[in-house]
Order: sequence, then C-alpha cells, then structure tokens
Amino acid sequence: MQLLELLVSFLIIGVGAYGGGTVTIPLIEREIVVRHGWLDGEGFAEVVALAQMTPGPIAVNAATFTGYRVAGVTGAAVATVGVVTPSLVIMCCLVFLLHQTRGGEWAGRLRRWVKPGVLALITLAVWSISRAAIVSWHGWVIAAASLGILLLLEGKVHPVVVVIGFGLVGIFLF
Amino acid sequence: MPEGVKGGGRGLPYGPSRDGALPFYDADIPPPSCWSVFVSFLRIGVLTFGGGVAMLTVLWHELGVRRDWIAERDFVDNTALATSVPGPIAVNMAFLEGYHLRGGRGAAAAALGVILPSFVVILLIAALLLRFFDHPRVEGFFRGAGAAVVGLVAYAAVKLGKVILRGWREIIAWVAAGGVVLATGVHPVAAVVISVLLCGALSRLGRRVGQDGGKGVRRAAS
Repeated sequence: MQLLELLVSFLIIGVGAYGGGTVTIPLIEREIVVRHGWLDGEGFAEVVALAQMTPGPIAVNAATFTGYRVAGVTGAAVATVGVVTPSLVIMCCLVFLLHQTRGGEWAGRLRRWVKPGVLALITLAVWSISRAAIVSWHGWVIAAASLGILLLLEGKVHPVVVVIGFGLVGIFLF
Repeated sequence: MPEGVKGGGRGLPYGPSRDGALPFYDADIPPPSCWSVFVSFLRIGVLTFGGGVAMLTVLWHELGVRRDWIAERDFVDNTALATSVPGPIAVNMAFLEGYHLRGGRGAAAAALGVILPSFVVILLIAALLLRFFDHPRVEGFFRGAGAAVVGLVAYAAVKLGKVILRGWREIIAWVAAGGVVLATGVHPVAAVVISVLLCGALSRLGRRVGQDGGKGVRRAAS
C-alpha cells in the first residue's frame, strides 16, 4: 500500500517537475513532508543537499533517496520509475504528434515562439540555483570564473573538468 | 549544400522551414549504435552535478563538440521542446537526443543511460556513504563544485541566448516572460505561455506594419 502511495506521489512530482529545479523542490517537499510525512524537515534538507551534490537530475535523485528511506531498495525503484514515467510518456506522445502532423505550419511557429520563454526559464534557473549553491562571495568569484573559462575556451575544455577543478579549489577555500 | 542531420540519425520533423519534409538519413555518416548512445549518456549521467539545466552544457559538449553528433540548431530546438513540457529536463532531453540519433531505441537507451547512474549512486550513498558527506573537506569540494555549476548554467543561458535572441520580438518576449515569473512568482509554465502569446501577437503586428510599409518580407526565421 505504501509502495502504491509512493508511486502516485512521484508520478505527481514527475508531472509537476518543470523549468529546472525551481518548482520541483517545493513540490517534492509538499508531497513528502507535508502530505505524507515520510521525512521531517531536517531529513528533507538532507535529501535536497544530497540531490544537488550527486550526479544526475535532481528530481530523480530525490525520488531514489526518499524511496529508499521509506521502503528500501524496492521503494527506491518504485519512486524512480514513478518520477520518470510521465516524462517518458509525454515525450513519446510529442514525438508521435510531430510525426503525425509532419511538422505543419503551426508546429514551426510554436517552435519559434516558445524559445524566448524557455530562455527566460533557463535564465531564472541561474538565479535559483545560485541561491542554493552560493553561500559567500568566494562562490560568486568561482561562478564568474567558471563562466569566463567556458566562454573564453569555447569547446576546448570539458565543462566537467571545470566543475571538478573548482571543487578541488573549494577544498582549500571553504 | 542541404544541411543534413548530423550523425545520420533521425531528425524530428519540427516545421516546414526545415530542409526536407521529414526525418532522413545521411548516408555518408553511419549513425551511432544504440550501445554507443547508451554509453555516452551513461557518461553524461555520471559526470553531471547540479541537475538538468547544468546538464545542458555537458550534453552540448559531449554530443556537439566531442562527438559531432548533432548540429547546434537541432540542439537548441530539442532544448526548447524538452524545457517547455513537464518532466525533469535531463530525462526529456536524453529522450529527444537519443531519438534524434537513433530513433525509438536510441531514446530508450539514452533515457536509461541518464537515469541509471543517478539511481545507483544515490542508493550507494543512502545505504553506505551518508556519513562521508559530513566531512568538511567533502563539503568544501561540493561548495566549490556547486558554485562552478552556476557558471555552467549561465553558460547554457548565454549560448542559447545568442541563438534565440535574434530580433526585438524575441528580446521583448524573453524580458516579459522572465520578468512576470520573477515578479509574481507564478508557475514557470507562465513564461512559456507568455512567450508564445507575445511572439504571436508581435509577429501579427509586424506583418501588418510590413504590409503597409512594404517591408513585409522578413528573414525566414528558422
């Protein structure tokens, strides 16, 4: 029964995850802490911190971790399947729809018109991620330096190298 | 020279301004195998900290720069689609890129590749390594890395901005969409809705002005 609730909760989170982490985390909190009480505030803070530190999409990380806390490995699997299913179903429908309409006139227009909005979401994500990730002015210097390196060395340096490099700097700095 | 879909994969039929009508195969370049698509996304999944938007920068580097599998134009189109519908951006993006490269099976391989590392790593940490994260050195590492991730996300924004903000209509829609969501705190889906409505209205307005002033022919937007 608990597994079913876990599945439903994460299906909801999977549908609601939108715009890159900005709404996802409050949504997870509402489902897991407020509605079901699977984790308390402190446990949830731990999940968020871990989800951001570990590789992979934040919603998927949070699902695996919460699922494990609630019902072990089975719970982790159920929650993870729940959180990615809506995404996969929606994508299948979209691809099917695009093929069906053979890229009609409206699809071309819509494709152009959503782009500024998508860019706005990603610009806002810079802000929301920086609020979670940057705790002192050192952080801003690192963020600016990492942006500068990526822009100056356009394609010559792997972004992951930049992240790990500044992680090593962080060991001595923080 | 008709610009082919790089990597010989299946392009999504996004619109009539596209080269041909429908997905086609470029015979010169063999498409990547499903296995190599899976391995690529596994790498991306293992290597990316900080969630889906940071992953955009890594994805572009892995697929567009390192492997030359996808053209920038298609990457931007896929990003727009993956971000404007519900679901974690990383999963949506993996599905679309995988589909682009290798059709349905590629989509499955890519999605699995991007989800699997996340699942395994979190399980390991939750079961065994939780205490390790309290170590001050480890915390220092993640603070530094986390701040660098902000740079990665900003880079994705700059890169997309260069492609997307090509005229005053786009700039107006971008500022308005971002401004409304930031100021009012409404659901971010509003940004996409505002953008579509505003671009639609502005391009209709532009066409009318164009008819009167004889400047009706706009550069064919892609």
